[in-house]
Amino acid sequence: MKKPEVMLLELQELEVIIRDARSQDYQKIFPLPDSALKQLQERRDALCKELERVLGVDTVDEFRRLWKRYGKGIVIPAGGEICTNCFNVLPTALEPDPRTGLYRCPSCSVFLYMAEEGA
Amino acid sequence: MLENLIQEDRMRMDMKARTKDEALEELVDVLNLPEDKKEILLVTLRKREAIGSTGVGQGIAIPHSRSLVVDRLEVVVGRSREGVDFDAIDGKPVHLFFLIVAPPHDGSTGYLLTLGHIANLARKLARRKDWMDISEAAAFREYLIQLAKEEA
Repeated sequence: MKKPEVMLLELQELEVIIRDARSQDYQKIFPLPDSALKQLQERRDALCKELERVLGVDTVDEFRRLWKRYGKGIVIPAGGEICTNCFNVLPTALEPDPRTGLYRCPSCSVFLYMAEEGA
Repeated sequence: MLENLIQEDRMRMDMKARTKDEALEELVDVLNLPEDKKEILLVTLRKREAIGSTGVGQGIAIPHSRSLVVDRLEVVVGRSREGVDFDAIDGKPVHLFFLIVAPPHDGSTGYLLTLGHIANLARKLARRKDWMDISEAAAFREYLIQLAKEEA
């Protein structure tokens, strides 16, 4: 089974595709039929349901609230010492939420994705 | 604009892929991402392809997505002599790919602007086939940049 933060990341990426697909600028370049947008929204809704089952309704509601508030990356890599959303310093001993196992920025609450080290 | 985005180390002149999945993977490989990030990006690109192929016809495809796995706008150019079955809108195999990936928090219009520039370039490329004769990445890059500057 996928890690919850990876599922949240996939939800974010779907939200981004939907946002772009709705924009007029994008439609001028890659016109998409309404059915395609509907298909994306159905995928997003299905993923939300799965996440509600795995993480609880509150966490998914929190995702929606943050997405509405910031409208950009709210599941972000936590590779450095600073949150790339609010630019506040992250505590060195950051603890995950005991209910969900997810890491959050203590200042702005965005979800932190613990990416593997690499290139 | 494209001078800064199309770089030789982001070009593959002789792609081996024969299927859509293989082509996406070969293009994403160029970005040298860690395995988990690569997989996340591939999932996102496949989701985008699932709602409509980015194979725009005349042998050209522009797979694209925003994704957290990159921290800046990236363009990868790939060419396949054999051609790839990419479900293009005209049903023809794709020989030239422009993979475009940008972070979700790319607040500027850079991503959409780049998509627009590449789509324009694709329209010009569609009218000619001499780009199949160029072997070297440097020469191909120069060809693309000059073509992009030409009036439509």
